[in-house]
Amino acid sequence: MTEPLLRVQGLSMTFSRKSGFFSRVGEELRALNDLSFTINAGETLGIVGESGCGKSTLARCLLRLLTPTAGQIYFAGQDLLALPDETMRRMRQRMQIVLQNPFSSLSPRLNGFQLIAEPLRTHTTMSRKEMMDEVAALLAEVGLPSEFMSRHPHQLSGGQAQRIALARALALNPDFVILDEPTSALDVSVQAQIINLLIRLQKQRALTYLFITHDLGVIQHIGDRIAVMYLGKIVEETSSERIFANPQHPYTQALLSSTPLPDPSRSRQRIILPGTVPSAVDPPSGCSFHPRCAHVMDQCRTLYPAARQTSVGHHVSCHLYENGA
Amino acid sequence: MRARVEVGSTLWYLLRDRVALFSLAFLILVALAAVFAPLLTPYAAQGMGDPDLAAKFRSPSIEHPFGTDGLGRDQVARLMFGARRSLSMGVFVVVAAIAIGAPLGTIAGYLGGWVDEVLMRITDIFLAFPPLLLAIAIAAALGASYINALAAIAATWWPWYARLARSQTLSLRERAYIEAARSIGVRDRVIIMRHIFPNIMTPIVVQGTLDVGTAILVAAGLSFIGLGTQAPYADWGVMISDGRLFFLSGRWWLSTFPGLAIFFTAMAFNFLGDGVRVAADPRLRRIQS
Repeated sequence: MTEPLLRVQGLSMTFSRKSGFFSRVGEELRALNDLSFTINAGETLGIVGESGCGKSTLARCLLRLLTPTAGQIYFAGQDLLALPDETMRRMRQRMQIVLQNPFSSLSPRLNGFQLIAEPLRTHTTMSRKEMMDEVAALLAEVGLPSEFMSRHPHQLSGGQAQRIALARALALNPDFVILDEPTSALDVSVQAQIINLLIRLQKQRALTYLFITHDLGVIQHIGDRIAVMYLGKIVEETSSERIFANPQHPYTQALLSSTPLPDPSRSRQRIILPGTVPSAVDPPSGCSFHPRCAHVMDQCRTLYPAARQTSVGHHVSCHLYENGA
Repeated sequence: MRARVEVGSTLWYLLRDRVALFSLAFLILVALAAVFAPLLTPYAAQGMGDPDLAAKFRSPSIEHPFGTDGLGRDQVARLMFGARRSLSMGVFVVVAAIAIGAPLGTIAGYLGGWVDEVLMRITDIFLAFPPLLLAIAIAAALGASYINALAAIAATWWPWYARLARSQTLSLRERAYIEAARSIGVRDRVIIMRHIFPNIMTPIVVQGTLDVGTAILVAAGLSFIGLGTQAPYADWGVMISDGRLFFLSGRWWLSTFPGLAIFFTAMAFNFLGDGVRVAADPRLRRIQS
């Protein structure tokens, strides 16, 4: 079996906040709690979860914008967290991110050319002429005419701005792109265009995606595999077909039931979760989902369920499936 | 959310603000009078300090609109030559303070951690002294001269810009586009120069414009107690100081005119700074048609 492009082992990120200058006790927020997963070259892993479950923290840890408190990240066989800063800086050519809101991820003072050329200026020694050609080609690839080189972010629509951000991410021909809610700030009609563009680019450039979203409807079209996160943990992970056909974790079932169906004549029984997402500063004992779970059992309150394979390629962390059910 | 700052539109709004425009015109006039002083007055030699004892203590007249001082020097010429020092002092103090404070504050805010601690504790040490007393102490230690007074005032002033730059940088550092630049692998130095500096300059320039007037006042204060410009040259502070002994004996014009010059100039810089502040912030702009 070939080495996956990205292998994450036991990744944890704990933010600590001192409560005061003289106090020793501080609050700890476990944003990521012992995550492990792999992404193979050319595939798309969707990470789904409510806001506050640690999705964006995960993206920042993978790019080493935040330093995780524990765990390893192997990218193309190299342990990213062990790389010296300068090696890591060069490694960034191969992994890029597209953030949720293009208007905040694009510097307001720069125009389209400057924005897209920034990675080229940082990592290559291209002349200005070469950069112009390259930027024009990138713009064409994301479906924008070359006039956009002279536009500033405030002159763009949301979809156009996100295309510029995408062109910037592709400029160095990366292997791996993290898409952190790339469509949630956009209008629904534009969302579909961007998703289709992402799918086309992935085919043309053999890209590997980590697609972070809270919207299962979006990920259905693009994800090969899907991991569902709840309070800093992956609770279920399987192929995209199977998660829609046979969701096993009660949280996944609730999440799926909340996704609107495009056909108004069909309706589905919605599972309404009681309460809200517990605070990651003070997570519930045992399974962190137990206070909201309809199937809660005694052991859920004390013991976190280990991930278990219920069928090939389908992993669930839930006590309901412990007896091989 | 779309922060949009364009120099062109800022200028356009500034020029529509009558108070700011009038202040700017006044300051340009004063600056021109300072630069072209030798061409504008027949008493250039007196402006530079030469005495003319035959004409001493003349009260204001057509010949000498602001009178003459105890050495017979025409007060208009003295004011114009004095403006060179007073105005340049105010501007240079602020420029020097920004040049020192802004990079330090930006670096402290961007890097954080121990660098931030060390730099900010140093600025705290400077801020712990009353600024005027510290300036007097430094100027006295360096010796009384124009350039030393400038250095002394700038030394008490830069911590304010360091703090301003740091706080602006802190809020900017969390912006997604800074994070995006880091994820691209842009070097910290380039991020500071290209993404942070241009975006924090607006509040710094606004504060700087407001501060020039105050710097002129402080500089005049140092000159007044003899720690600034030395005879035979004069600035406005020196002129007030020279005239103060004669004020009650009826020679009111000696201190009054340089005092008014300082008053109007400082006020003009304040109005101008306020105008720049409003013009640079789209939320404060009011459409006046």
